[in-house]
Amino acid sequence: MIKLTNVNKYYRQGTQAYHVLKDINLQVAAGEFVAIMGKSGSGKSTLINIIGFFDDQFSGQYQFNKIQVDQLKRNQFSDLRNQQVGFIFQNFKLINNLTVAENVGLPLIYAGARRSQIQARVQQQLKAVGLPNVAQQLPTNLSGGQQQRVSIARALITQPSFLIADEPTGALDSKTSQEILNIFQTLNHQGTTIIMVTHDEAIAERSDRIIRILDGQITSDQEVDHAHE
Amino acid sequence: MRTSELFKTAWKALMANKKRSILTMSGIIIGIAAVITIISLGNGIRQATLKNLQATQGGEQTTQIYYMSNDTNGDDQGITQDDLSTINNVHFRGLARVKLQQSNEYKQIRSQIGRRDTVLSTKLINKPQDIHVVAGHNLTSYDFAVQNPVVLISESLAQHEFHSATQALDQPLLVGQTSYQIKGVMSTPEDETQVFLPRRAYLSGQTNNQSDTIILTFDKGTDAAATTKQVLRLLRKNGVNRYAGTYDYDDTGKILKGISKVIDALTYFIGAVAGISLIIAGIGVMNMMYISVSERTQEIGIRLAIGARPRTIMLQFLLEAVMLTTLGGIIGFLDGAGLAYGIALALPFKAKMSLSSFVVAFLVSSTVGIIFGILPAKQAANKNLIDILR
Repeated sequence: MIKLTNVNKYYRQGTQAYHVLKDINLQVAAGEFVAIMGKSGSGKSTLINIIGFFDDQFSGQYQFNKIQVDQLKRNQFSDLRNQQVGFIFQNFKLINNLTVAENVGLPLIYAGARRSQIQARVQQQLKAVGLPNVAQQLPTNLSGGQQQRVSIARALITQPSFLIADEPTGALDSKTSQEILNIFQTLNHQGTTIIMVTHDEAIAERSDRIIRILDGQITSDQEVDHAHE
Repeated sequence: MRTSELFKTAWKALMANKKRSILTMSGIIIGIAAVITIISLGNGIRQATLKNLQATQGGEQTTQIYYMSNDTNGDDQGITQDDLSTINNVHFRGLARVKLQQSNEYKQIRSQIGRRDTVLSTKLINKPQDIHVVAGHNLTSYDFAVQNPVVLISESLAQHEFHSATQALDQPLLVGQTSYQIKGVMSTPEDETQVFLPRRAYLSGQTNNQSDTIILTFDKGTDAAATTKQVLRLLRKNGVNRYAGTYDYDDTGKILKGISKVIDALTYFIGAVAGISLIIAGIGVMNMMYISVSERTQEIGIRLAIGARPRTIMLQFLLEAVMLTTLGGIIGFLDGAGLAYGIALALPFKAKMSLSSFVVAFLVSSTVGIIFGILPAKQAANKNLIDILR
């Protein structure tokens, strides 16, 4: 599904150029649950920004299904973000003056739906992440775990091809983190492709495949052996 | 994204910060209200002026065509009943009535005195005059009442035609088909009027009703000047006395148009001065939008991240600015209209509101929104997604 070939990325800060990603070659098939690990500054966030269609400034080839992503225009990136990927952030990134239901439905609005048409779908999605009764609340009235569930519901509402989770449990306590990971595993078993960035070994162990990045290069790419658990 | 959703989103954003929105809007309201007040009052003044200068009480307009003899001592009574028929036989658009004007006190009238045909300076009188009579008798109220065909002539005319005042008495003076008897001879008036003729007797005696002026009356809203010119052309071509004199008219319409233009120009000038406040208000809108864009950087990032196109973001912020100013424009129009009516209560004319001034308020205010909203909106749309979400 996702195929990166010789992807390089440079940052320019003042007069200095940083080579953040060096010749990344990576394939992710549909249905996988991948964890990307690395220290801060290793380039893992840059990598998922490219995979998640946030960043159109890179060299090399990115093939997504049959789309040659590196040749698309800016508006087409918007449409890919809207239709093909669900992004889950460490600090949830909900719009605080919109209700939970409005937050969850927003991607559908940008896809061209009418507010009145999407109520049932939003309710169903909230129920699926275990939040049946908070639709009319503001996000700030919810706990961190609940907010992250809302953002998962928002990521899933357009039924995207894959999810990207950037440190999804970074702002949560360990019990809540386990609940969120349980949701991810359930989704994955239902067929959703998930790419998760974390620096926590225990969290990464819950995935099926761990890719380690150091200084912009992939240092290892291994299947997780769940038999020992 | 649907346009209706775009509007809802922009509206919600404005309502999320009501106090700031209203404060920003008040600048536009004041600007538009000032412009509308001035324009409404200006239109009112113009309308009142035109009404007073031009039209009859029923709102009809009148113009005059007059006739002048080529000969300075010639007969100016060159427009006849036949000319009226000529005009009436042609259908002129908007021309309601044509009539001869008979109000002139002094006329050059062709007459026969003694055995001579001549044109005499004649004054038409309605009642006995307080003058010195050198021979015969002054005209009496009775003469006027029964329309006696009697006249007074000046001493100089009497001497010129009959050698003395007394010999002129009871001699005939022929005007048109009517023979008048010279009842008295007066000392020559300072303006050298030669004949005093009772008006009613003169008018009733005129079989071929003549005048030096015709009055054209037009329906409301007619281009009176243009039609008058057409009538003038017809008279120059077919008028009875076209070879003996010239027809002409005073283009009062032209003068009125000029006055109207001056009032308009003044109105728009003062309106434009008031409109400067709109620029200040626009800068206020721009300021608020810039603050809003920078405050809502996170929101913009989130919207971009879940698939909003940069163009949609631009439209959302532009729409916020335009909705703010347009709403301000409408409220400002209502305020201005109310203010103009209120002020007009203390003035001798009415304020005049028109659809066009509403359209102007609407367009100007939304244009202000576009002009001062576009840069902040572009800034919002061009934000770098990765920088925001880092």
